Amino acid sequence: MATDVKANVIEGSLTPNALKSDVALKLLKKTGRGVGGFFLSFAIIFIIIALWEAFPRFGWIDPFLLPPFSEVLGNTLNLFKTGEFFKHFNVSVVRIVTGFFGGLCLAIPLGVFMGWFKTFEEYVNPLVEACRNSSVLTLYPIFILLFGIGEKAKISIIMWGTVWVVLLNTISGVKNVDPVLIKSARSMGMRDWSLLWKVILPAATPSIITGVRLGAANSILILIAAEMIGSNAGLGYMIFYYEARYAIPEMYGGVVFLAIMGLAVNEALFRLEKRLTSWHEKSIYFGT
Amino acid sequence: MTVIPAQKKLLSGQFIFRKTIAIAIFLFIWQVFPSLEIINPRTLPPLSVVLTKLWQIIINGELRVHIAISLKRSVSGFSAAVVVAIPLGFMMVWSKKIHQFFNPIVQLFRNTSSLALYPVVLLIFGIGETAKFIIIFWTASWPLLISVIDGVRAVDAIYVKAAKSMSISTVALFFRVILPSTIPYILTGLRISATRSMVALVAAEMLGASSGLGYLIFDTQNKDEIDKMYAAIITLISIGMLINFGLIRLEKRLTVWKRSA
Repeated sequence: MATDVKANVIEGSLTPNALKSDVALKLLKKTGRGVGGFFLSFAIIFIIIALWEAFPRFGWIDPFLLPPFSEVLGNTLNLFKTGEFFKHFNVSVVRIVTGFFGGLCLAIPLGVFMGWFKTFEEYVNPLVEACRNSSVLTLYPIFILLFGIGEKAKISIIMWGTVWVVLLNTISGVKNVDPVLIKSARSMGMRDWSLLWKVILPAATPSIITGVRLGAANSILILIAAEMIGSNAGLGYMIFYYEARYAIPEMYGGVVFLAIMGLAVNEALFRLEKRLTSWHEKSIYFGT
Repeated sequence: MTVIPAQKKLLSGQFIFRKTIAIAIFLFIWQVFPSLEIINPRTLPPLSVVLTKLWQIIINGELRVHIAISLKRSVSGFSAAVVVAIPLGFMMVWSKKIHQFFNPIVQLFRNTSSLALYPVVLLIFGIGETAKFIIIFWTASWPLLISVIDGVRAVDAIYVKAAKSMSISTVALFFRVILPSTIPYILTGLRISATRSMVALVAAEMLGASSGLGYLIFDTQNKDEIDKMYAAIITLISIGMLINFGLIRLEKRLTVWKRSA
């Protein structure tokens, strides 16, 4: 009954009787979006691109500050052709992948461990919270001091930006597993190891994934900041370099690419989350 | 009756011990290892040296100047974001059509690292206070906007349904139902955006600034005044934590109804 009422609100005009089966609900949701919804979803992107093209063309915006979209696209494609772009892209990918996955490999096992041994976690928690709450970039000079200006400093600062948020989310995920699940698994004679794999980890997954998504966003932000100073390659370096050289279309190309990259990473993690977890999303609008 | 307070005292003593021991050990290592030269004191000066330096720059007023300018930048950017992003967020989820229309652009910008836009901001506004204000404002806006949108979408449909069946006006629905249940989300958004704007502040002061705590940190590192660098880092981290702590307090106060329910 409760789902019927909610679904009713989501779809607006449907009667609860029409939503008896899950299959029907899914079908209705899909068709409810329809062709119009699809166009509506992309309308704003087209509008922005059109404005971006029109404003500088007609001289409403100084075309030096904002070159027309087509020019940005052309110059960016040129960067792809010359391979200049991939040079920076590869450097950045190596940094971010090493730092981010290194952070995950440290944080998730440690988080499971700390969530399992609650006493240990209680003692260490204040320090972890302190590390998490200290602004990452603030510590960048220390990393430079320790590792010199180079790959090591950049990778370790990205790692630092990933570790704490993933660690805290893993701990809270493992700690907050419904005790009923653990007790019933235990009462059926489950051993520690399979309890961990079959009950605790799956139950903690949503929380861990949330941490991973936050960590990914953090690591892109830190990557750009780290490449802003003391660097001679990478996407972050590239956009500031083109800005300083007044190669404005190329700069916008880099910015757009970074935006799309962020979107793609988030989309991938979102898909992963959907695959690994299953819960119902509910959404309502109050204005209609 | 007499046992319970004693037990409580013991418990709270234990509690304080648990909460502080890890940090105490950390500070102890910071003091002892560099002193015994297990860690190179040029890379990490002992805690006492750093604290002495911190006291020194507090006394001679150097620190105050940098704190003032950094706070001015971050507070102005952050408050502008609060004023603009929260109402905008509510407007964007007014109806399904409006939400669908704006959603792609929100998704795009929430995932675009704000620093990627810093060169664009520098290009348009030049290196100066305006550019710093804009980048902090921009960074702080998105988490707020998104938390409002998520908050409204997470309001339990039954409440809305019930209120509507009692023929509530849209304005009253907003103030009595939607806003109260969105507040926890907004407060979480405030905390995320406060943290992010600290990062943006430091990044903005890293490049083309001649004052501010972010500048002080990178400048002293270049000049090899390591104790001063650590003093500035401690200051910046403490300010960040203080703000975070304040926002957590506010969150607890404003969401009392949630726990009592």
